[in-house]
Amino acid sequence: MTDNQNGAARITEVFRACGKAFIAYLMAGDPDLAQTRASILALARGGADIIELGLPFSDPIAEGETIQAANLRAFASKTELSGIFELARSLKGELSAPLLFMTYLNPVFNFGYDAFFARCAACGVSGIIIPDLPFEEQAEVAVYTKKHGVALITLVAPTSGPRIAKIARGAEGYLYLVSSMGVTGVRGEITTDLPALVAEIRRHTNVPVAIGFGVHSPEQAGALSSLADGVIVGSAIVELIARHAADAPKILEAYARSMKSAMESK
Amino acid sequence: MKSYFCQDGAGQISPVYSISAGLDYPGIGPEHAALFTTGRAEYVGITDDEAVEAFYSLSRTEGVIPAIESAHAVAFAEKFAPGLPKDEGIIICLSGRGDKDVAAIARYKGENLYDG
Repeated sequence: MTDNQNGAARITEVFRACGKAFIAYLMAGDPDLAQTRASILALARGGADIIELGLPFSDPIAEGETIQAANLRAFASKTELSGIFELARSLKGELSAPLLFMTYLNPVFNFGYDAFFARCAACGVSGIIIPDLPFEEQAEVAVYTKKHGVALITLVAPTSGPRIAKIARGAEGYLYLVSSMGVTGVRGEITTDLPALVAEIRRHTNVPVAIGFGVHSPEQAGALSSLADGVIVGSAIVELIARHAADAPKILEAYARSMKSAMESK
Repeated sequence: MKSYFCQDGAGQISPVYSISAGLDYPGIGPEHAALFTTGRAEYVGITDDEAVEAFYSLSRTEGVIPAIESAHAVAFAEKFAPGLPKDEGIIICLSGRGDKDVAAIARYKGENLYDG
């Protein structure tokens, strides 16, 4: 037993308490772990309710150019899992927003599922998102996320169709609704029929629904919050980090504040 | 489903290269993975140099131009054959023809030759 025993409950509680959750993604080690730490705290100060921390992977198949480049910058600064776990552990107490990892299956498999999620729990990581782990294959991982109280966040895409029912019924923490076909990245416009997808999900679960992929502006965040329980922003944040280097934290804080206030007015 | 990949100790997939564009992939398919796991097949490595030498030797001795992928098999057969009795046979699968590859071989040999 650890104090992290129920990451899913902790995440759900955040949704309950904040109304609409602003979920901020950034890449660990972009451009290095010290700056990542400053960026996480800045996003939280600005109002981010949940932090998704990307773990660099050589083959990030869900990512568009922006986050691919962040992966390369993280490798360039020699970012390794041990350092990322240490960063997570060092944020305990200082960061009240739940911290999640977003990565791909192979580094987790390679580390060993049991050891990886035990380490997550010890370092206060509440959940994990693994976009290349299909729902139908997740049982071998779920045994260990459950054992260690780490929420396994699953994804629904515009093409999930008849699979939505089982994915939604098995969901914990929140359900990650992918807004559009394709990879992550800033989009001017989201053309998917999101109200229909959200309605279909709601028929099967009460777990909060957060929409990601392509979301960047306060206007979008505001519009999406009237539809779902949360909004996930990744590439726009990664771009700010890439553009502003050491000045990024204060810009991220202001950005998070603008997103959060656009969502609260809904 | 799982398979075997060239990767580092942290599970990061290796950047791989081969003179044969068809072999320029860090993993293997499920059929090979099963053959390997059950011990029904043995897998060996061949360098670009060895494959190119085999490409020449089969072309010169038999008038058959093997694809660069197949030239890897020829290269291993050339290494393996001297250890066998004279009356033993070896079957090599030539999975493709190499006339499509002559420009790549020429470039490998330093010719400044590019498609179209």
